[in-house]
Amino acid sequence: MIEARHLYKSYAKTEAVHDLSFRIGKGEVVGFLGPNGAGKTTTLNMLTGCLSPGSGEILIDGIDLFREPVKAKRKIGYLPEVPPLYPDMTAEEFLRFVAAARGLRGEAAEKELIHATRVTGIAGVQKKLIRSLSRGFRQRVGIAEAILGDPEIVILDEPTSGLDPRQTVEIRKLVRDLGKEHTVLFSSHVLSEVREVSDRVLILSRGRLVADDSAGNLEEKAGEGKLLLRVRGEEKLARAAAESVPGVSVLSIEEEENGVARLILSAGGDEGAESLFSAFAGRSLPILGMEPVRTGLEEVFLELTGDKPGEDKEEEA
Amino acid sequence: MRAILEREFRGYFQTFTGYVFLAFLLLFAGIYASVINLANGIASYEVTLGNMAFVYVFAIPLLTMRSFPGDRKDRTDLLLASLPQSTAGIVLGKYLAPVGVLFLGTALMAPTPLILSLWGKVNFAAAYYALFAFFLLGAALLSFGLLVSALSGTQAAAAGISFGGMLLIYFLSDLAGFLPGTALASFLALLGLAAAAGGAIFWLSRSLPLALALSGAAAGGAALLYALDRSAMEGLLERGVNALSPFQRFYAVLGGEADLTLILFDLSFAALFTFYTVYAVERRRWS
Repeated sequence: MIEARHLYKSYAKTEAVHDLSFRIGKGEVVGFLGPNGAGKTTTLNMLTGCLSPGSGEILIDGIDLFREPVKAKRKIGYLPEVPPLYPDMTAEEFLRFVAAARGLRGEAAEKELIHATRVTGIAGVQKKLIRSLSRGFRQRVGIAEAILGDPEIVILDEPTSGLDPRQTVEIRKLVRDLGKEHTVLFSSHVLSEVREVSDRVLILSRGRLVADDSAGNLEEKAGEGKLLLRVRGEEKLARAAAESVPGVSVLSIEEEENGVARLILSAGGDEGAESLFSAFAGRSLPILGMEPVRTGLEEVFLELTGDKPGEDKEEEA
Repeated sequence: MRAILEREFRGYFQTFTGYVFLAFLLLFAGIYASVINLANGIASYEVTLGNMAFVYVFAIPLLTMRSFPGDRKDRTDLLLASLPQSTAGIVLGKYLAPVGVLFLGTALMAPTPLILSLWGKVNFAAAYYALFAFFLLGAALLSFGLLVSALSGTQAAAAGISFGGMLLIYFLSDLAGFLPGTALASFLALLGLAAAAGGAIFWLSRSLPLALALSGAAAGGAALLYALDRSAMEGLLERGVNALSPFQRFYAVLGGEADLTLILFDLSFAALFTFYTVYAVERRRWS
């Protein structure tokens, strides 16, 4: 449905996107993750034809976005990070304008308008001026604009950004529901949101695609071969026992209360686990617990993007 | 295009801009008609319109300053760019909307010759042709305002630059009087123009050989003309600038017969600046 081929984009001397390629199939809900300045907004603007890449190709359902822009854009609904709304119009006037610009007139426009307002829950405010609407309702009007005309692809740039917790939950549900009828690509900073809503995650770091998989697979791959051990005994003895097993290395170790050491080990599969069991038993260090390490999407994200918590960079224009 | 045109046209009346423009135009039309036609007892509406053309210096920036910077401010430029509309369609919609407002304004001025006919003999053909020419002049100048709007980051900048540009266009023929009239000066000016055209062609096409070839051919033509007939080049600058002044073209047809060249000139002026506006919008997307 969406295919990006070797996209590059630079601003002055800054490279915003570097050799970005991916493909999104029909009906997929894909989360687009990346720290500030990673190139998410630039990429989404390119995918919607708002910005041209320095080089590369974008195909929308097989149509080249830059050779046949009007035809390709008929298949796309886009909500940028800041909802693009005319404050002097009522929500209804605005949506009628968008419907007309998408080539919908008369009964077809009416039908689409009713559908979009029902799905986004803005029927009660559609006669109000957009300037008087709350942030949450503006976001909903923006989403209504994106789904008007039933485009096959809906692209949402940080749809829950700046919303209060209740609005966030509602918009998240809305995005999930949109995924039942549309191909959805949405960007977010909130990892739990991406995990909850998307089938697949694309992680962008410094303009490069560093991961493309489901959240579950990414977590599984990141935790593969790692074991968490809780052992009764001194930290020093526990480390020595673990390191006595060939192929095992200690990734971290800390002492809990009551003389219990907590180790995270890199151990190769079941054989490693068995050898560890024997090594600790041989040194009279009782193993209180042994389980595979479960890596969260947060850790995966930090590892792939090379970011440390608290670091922040400026988002691109 | 139609959807953009409708929205932009309504937009003028969802804010005060459309009303302020109409009030401004009709106020000046009323004042000029009162002073020139009623107080002096002149039944010719062409004279009034000729004097009134100066209002465009203020009115054009008022109508076009919001066209593109307004979208950038509300971020609706992204909406327009993502809609299944061509850039030319968007620009045309944005151009025809203020033309529509101007048409409304000139239509509201239309009864004036009829009112004047109550007190004197009015040449209706000349009066309405002058009104049509007045509208065409405004429509042509709106394309210039639109280009400035597309190139400006803010409404204030668009208004200021457009106002300055309109002043320059208004006084173009007066300024042309200061230009040297010798053949050499004309030749040097033509060389400068050829170089500038070469620069513009390079900016548009990014092709240095094409820019050099075309500007070289133009410079060669100017050199040939200078060598063969210097007398033809005397006063060429002033004549050229006057020929390119939309206001001068407008004054020339007042009180005369219907002139197709005026229509062609104003349409070409509008087409040229609208084309540049499309290019400016596209270029911003590729930057």
